[in-house]
Amino acid sequence: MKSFIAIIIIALFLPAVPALAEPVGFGVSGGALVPVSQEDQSTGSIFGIKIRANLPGPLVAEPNIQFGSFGNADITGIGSRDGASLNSYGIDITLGDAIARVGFKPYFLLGGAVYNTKRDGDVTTNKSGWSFGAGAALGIREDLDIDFRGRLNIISWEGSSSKKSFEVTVGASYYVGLK
Amino acid sequence: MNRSKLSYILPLALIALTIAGCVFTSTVVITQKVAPDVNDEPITLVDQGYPADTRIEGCEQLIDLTKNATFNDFKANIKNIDNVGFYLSAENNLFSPTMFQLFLVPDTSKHYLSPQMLVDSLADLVLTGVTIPARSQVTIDWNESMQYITNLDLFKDVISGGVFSLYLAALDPQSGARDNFNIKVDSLVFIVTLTGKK
Repeated sequence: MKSFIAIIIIALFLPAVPALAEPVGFGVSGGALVPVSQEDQSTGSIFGIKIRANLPGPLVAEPNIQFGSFGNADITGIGSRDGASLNSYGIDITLGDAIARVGFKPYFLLGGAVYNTKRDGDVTTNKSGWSFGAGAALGIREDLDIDFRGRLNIISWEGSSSKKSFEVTVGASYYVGLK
Repeated sequence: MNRSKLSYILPLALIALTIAGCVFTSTVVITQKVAPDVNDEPITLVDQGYPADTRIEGCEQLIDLTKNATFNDFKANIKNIDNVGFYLSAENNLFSPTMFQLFLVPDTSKHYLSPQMLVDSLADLVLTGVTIPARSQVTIDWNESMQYITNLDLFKDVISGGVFSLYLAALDPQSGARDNFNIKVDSLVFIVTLTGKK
């Protein structure tokens, strides 16, 4: 069901693709990946790359790939267990972070992605998920943003459950095609 | 409705739907001590050529997760048993190597006296391959234990019920004989990772 909704949402934005206006941004980000309500993981790290492209109105599309890993879970007396890796590819839509504009630019974001989870002793899974969050970009030049972002990932799991994690990242985006 | 309003309402509606759905599940790690026993004594398993119908003390261990407060909090709404692991510290008292094993018996009204009777009953092996060298001690931690687990799907099904029997067993890794072991299990902790709702 969630995959179906993701397809619908992406389809809603497809008519806007021909209207994509230059410039286009290329971004990188990195930070902390914090498990939420998961005792079997601890805080790890995450790194991502993305493209930023204008959509009509105040929206910006961000196709992205992220590579994350949780830290080891330690329980006194029984040792530790390695954290899972959490890689994803998907698309975010931001509301309020205009491309190629100097200044302070707070924004909200909503995303959909496919999350790959891998861990010794567990079956490797590919699950759909959603994310939402907020951040602020600082346009220090027209062609360069510094970006701070917080995001909650909610990955659908077995038996109508979910696995949740929070990301706090710092990133930079560089824009090409400025007129 | 104009496009500008839609661009605000659509994300908010999706967020609300997501929150209302599966957000409130948690993943917890539950540990259940098997050894040392209730008297804080290690479990010693000895079989030195006894007939198969000789009772091996300590062989059968009842696991009752319903006595665990965390398990009870989640029992009615377990969405998934994510994983099963162990912590084991055991010593082989013989001058030849031995392989430690665990068998699962879901029906706690059934009782088997010895590992050989257990094997003859076609009980399910759930942990195998832990070889303890002669006159040595091994420690298998949570992370390492995963590689020794077998029949995981069956194990997960049975765990959801909360009550079952685990049988401690051993065999000679060379001959396969089940009537020649002397193991002291100093610590055996059963570890369940589950996702559910309180």
